[in-house]
Amino acid sequence: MTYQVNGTTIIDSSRNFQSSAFARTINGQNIIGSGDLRWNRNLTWGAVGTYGVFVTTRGSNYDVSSNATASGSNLYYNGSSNYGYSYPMIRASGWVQSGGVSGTWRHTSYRSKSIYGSDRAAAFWCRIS
Amino acid sequence: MAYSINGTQYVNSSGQFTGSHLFKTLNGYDALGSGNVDTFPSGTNGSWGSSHNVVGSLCSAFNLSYSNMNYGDGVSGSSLYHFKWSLGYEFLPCEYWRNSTSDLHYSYLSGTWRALNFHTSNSSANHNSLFIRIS
Repeated sequence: MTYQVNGTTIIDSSRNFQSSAFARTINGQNIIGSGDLRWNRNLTWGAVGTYGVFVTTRGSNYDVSSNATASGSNLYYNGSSNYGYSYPMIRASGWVQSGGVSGTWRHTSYRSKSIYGSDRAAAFWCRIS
Repeated sequence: MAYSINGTQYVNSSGQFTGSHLFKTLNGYDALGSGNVDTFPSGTNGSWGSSHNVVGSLCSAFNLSYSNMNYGDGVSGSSLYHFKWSLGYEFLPCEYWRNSTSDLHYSYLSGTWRALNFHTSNSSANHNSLFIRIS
């Protein structure tokens, strides 16, 4: 025996609600059925929602304000392929390497700026799309 | 034909539940209705802390409210300062210490932040730490 409204089954013979009775989805999943609906942060490096420490070549004199955005192709880390060093948390004094990320990132530090022409200040960035 | 009890509709004529009073809300959305509800933390574009100053944001700062800060300690955003240098012409978020408050810039952060470093020592100098906004 099932429970129907206008010929549409709401509860089937196994006493389970039908997913069509609940049109809303949670995190892309129907709320009827088994399993868990939690949202998990993407653990992949460079995915939307993840943070990174970068320098950027964008902005006037590399002056970047909070909430400014940049393309992933304009994000770098302080390092030299010639000399084999990587110093991600300090200013880059010339040599930079690609950050290897794509999409759009938001500058989440208050401000990053150096007064030296070739220097770029390391800051926190969050990928937003 | 819909399904109602004492005049309160529970299922509409299309066979969908409509009694929103039956369930709690999810991130402010009714559990019933159409469309998807994402339960990721606040912030737009599916990210956590997509601004520098919202709940969930990460921030490096100098905590001037007290020393000997431990992981898990909470601090008001009004006590967090950012590093500046060269009379304020440089802003270096990852610079690790400064021995004068004149080299620090008031950040205008709001809410409460939680220290994410294990310990920040007590000394005459100020040390940069990592914080997450918790409220």
